[in-house]
Amino acid sequence: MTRRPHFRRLDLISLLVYLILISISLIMIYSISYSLYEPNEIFTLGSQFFKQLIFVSGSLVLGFFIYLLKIKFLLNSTDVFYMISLGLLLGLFVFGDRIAGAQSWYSIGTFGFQPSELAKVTTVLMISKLFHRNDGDALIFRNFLLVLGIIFLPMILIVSQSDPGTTVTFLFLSFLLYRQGISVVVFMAGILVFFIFMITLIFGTVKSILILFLFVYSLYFLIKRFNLGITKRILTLVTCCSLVVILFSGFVYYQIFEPHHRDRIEVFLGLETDIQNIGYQLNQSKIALESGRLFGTGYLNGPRTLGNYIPEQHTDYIFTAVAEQWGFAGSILIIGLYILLIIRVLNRASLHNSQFRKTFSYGFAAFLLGHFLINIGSNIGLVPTIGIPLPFLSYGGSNILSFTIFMAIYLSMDYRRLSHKTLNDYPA
Amino acid sequence: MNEKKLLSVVTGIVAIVFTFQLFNLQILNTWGSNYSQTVFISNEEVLPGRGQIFDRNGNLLVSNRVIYNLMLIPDNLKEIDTVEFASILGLTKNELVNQIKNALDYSSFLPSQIKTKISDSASLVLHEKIWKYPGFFLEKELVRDYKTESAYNLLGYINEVTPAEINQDNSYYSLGDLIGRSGIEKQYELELRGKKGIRYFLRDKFNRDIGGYSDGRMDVPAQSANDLVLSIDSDIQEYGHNLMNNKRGGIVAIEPNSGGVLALISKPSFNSDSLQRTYDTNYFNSLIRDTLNRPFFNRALQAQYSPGSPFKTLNGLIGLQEKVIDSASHFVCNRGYRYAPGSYLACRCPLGTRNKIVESIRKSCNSYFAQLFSLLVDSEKTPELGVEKWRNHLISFGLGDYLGYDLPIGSPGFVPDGDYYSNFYGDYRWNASSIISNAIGQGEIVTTPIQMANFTAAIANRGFFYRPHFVKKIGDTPTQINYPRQYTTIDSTNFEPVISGMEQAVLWGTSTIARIENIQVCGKTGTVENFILIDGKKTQLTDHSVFIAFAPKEDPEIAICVYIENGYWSSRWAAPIASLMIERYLTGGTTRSYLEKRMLEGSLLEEYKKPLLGDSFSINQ
Repeated sequence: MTRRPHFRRLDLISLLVYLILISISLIMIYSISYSLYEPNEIFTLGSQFFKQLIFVSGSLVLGFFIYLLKIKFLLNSTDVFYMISLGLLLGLFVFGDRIAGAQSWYSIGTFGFQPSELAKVTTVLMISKLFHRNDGDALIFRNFLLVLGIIFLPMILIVSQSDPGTTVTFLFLSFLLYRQGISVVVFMAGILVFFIFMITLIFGTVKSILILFLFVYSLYFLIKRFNLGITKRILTLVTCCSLVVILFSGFVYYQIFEPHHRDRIEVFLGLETDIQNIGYQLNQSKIALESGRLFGTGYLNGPRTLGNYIPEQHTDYIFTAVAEQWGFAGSILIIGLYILLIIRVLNRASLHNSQFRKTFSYGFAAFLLGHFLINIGSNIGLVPTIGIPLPFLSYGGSNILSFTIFMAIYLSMDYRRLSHKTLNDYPA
Repeated sequence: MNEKKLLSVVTGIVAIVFTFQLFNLQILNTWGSNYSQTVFISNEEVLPGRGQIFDRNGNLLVSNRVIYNLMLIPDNLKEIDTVEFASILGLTKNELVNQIKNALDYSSFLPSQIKTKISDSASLVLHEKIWKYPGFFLEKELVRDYKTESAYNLLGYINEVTPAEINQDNSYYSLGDLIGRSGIEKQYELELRGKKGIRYFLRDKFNRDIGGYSDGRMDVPAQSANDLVLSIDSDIQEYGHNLMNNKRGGIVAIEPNSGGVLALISKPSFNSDSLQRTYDTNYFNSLIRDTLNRPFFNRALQAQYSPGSPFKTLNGLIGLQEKVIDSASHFVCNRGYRYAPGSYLACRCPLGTRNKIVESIRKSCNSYFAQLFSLLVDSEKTPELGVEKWRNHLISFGLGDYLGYDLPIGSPGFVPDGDYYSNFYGDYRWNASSIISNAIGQGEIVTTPIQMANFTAAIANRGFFYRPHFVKKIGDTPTQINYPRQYTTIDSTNFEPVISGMEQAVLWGTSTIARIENIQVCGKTGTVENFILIDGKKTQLTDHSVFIAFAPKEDPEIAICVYIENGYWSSRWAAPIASLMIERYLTGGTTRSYLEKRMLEGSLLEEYKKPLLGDSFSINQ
């Protein structure tokens, strides 16, 4: 018998991290919604803590049932799921509720449901299915476009509902394309576009064009002098593309981003320093982090948390509650747990033989990384605030639900790992 | 590189960057440094309970009492039965609704006062029913609890500080603090107020208190105030207060061997309890506008009266000391004394009476002291020098001076000197006969009742006194050391004839009504002529009734001055009151209940009305 490592064994580490994170989530939401003035209100049906308790238990039950589903069933139903989620996104234009500037919620009684969260799962499933069909193929341009289409379709719907935060997280799925043979150049280009965009915002269009030409001109001389092997043609191409990006930056910035997003980006870039209004959230968040010190202020003893100083602390800024009350130690614990989970998922993903499972797991990891990077990055002032939740930790039913489904499918795939023997043409 | 490696590397980089940034913010605090410590921590003052005040026998005179203010946090307000609630509070429904609106205008999240000083009965009901009215709560406040109504003038009252006072002492007071306004409360403010503590607490984004900061490690506890023990004997204070019912005037009783004031009564008085912390200023205004009764005017300390006949004791002492007379020398009284051509100072002695010092005090002979005074003034080269000599002796008894007792108000009285008369009459244009009224305490000299009580104590002590004072102990520290013995310029041997005269005045002289069985009372009556201006015309009013006394004769325990405005004969009001108080102090009761009853029920209100009615009126009835 060949050794069958990891076969038929539940990924206890991931499950444990998941359970720890949702427990911390409940603990933190308790501390945020705890009020000295109405200490008993926390146990009423309307309190955030109680709602989160319902979300978590509901998601756990649902997750368990999804865990029981056959992978084959998932594979076969992916198209349907994807279409349903697109339909839900489309329906928002008619039935959606506008909350915090974004028209991305369905109201069900006192609860809200955000279909864009569900779209994350279905999009990853859809890409996985596509990759699964084309297993082993090198990048075919048609498939490449198809994948882009699968990703961009929900993105366009979400961005037109004024929710750029969720939209940005979909960009992390481009990691999946990397494996399909997209060269480093694409990523370099992506990073370049990002930097040019930022430079244009900081310096304005005219100055940026001047900077660009100055830069290209000196680069041209360097290339000539040291013979770096970059041809004039590439340089011209890059220059032209950059010019286009610069010219369109203004349009994208002012047409697609909402005013409050622009404010946050401006605060992040240091163009705006008004801590009373726009920078207030980040400012309060930093104060909370600072007062945490090494071991924190103690649970239910954090002034910023107890005083409800940080707007949206229970969703986008939940990390500050941990950082304040449990200090640097708590922050490191949270970061450690996420890193552990991501690396674990990546490791387990790489062991999959099935493209469907492999891609799905990578997609899960990419989403985790994306949320982790943007959310905590914005909490500690490294990334502009665009308002996306921290998986498992933030308050919100849709978020808990979608990431629990991710987790359930991931665990299910990992548990029913296919051995080489059972591989047939297109194993699910 | 596959995507696993790529994602792992990105994850790793992110983790390192995040950890670095968190280390920066949380451990090194590179970003804000201390900003986080200051912005949400508030502090509030913790007020110590104001010091209590006891009398010399340990009876509580003033302590603190809790009153309740009804507060509202409008944000927590739910639908309530405003009609029922308003009726509990004693407000109309509209008043209540307006108060709630005002509170809402101020802040939705911070408490506002809806009603202050809720009555005891209403607060009892509220304590039971407050749960029915969400958003409302009762806030405790400490106010003064006056156990006796007889000493408001002495004890004073407290009130909120004014902005000017906050500026004066801006290291201590803040808006809403209470400060002593008069009497002991004002004089001993520093002892009574204690030392405020500081409590640090956290605020939420609505400025609400969300609990103590770092478990109160930074808090400064309030230092409780000192209790005061007064030299006052609350029994005779109360007794004297009652005896003074419906009369104007002042009583000061002093313990001669310590200078401690046993009783200080001024009538009419005010009510400190109604004055403290009053947001409704009607009561204060009614007091300040009462220019007839002048309740804030402390007649025992501030009223400058002619001393009248009791002053003869001092003139007698000065005459003995200056050897103008001795105990055997006598003057003739012919129903009075013709001190200048056409000028006659009447006296009640029969024609040709020969009075020595003892008899003259017993009978209160005007002629004797007029002649004595003339000799005294003329004993120097000029009347100025004579008056100066006389004056120096009086100064040594504490006359013409604030006396330095421990209350914030007083009057110096007035002892004229030679220059005063030279300025008034012109140089060399006056002599003893010009100022003869001073001989019988009716001239330019004026004194306050406490000065009279003080010189009575000096006579009782045979030549010395202790500065009168009201506080015996601050906390556990006796204050007697601050009040050393002050000697008068009169030798102690010269007191005996005067004291004998005072004793005989009570035994068979002018004030036999003051006689107490088994107690040797020494007293001197006074019936003081007084004038006021009515429509620009000098008008004489009924004489003041005055009495000074001390008892017992040997080792005196109490010296007292009673001054009743417009009471006519000394023995009609002042002497009985003084006598009853002495008896009460020394024996604890009285054997003369008929006298006590007459004093308690007697009223001079009709007498005080006379000059106000505008009609012509008769005096001294």
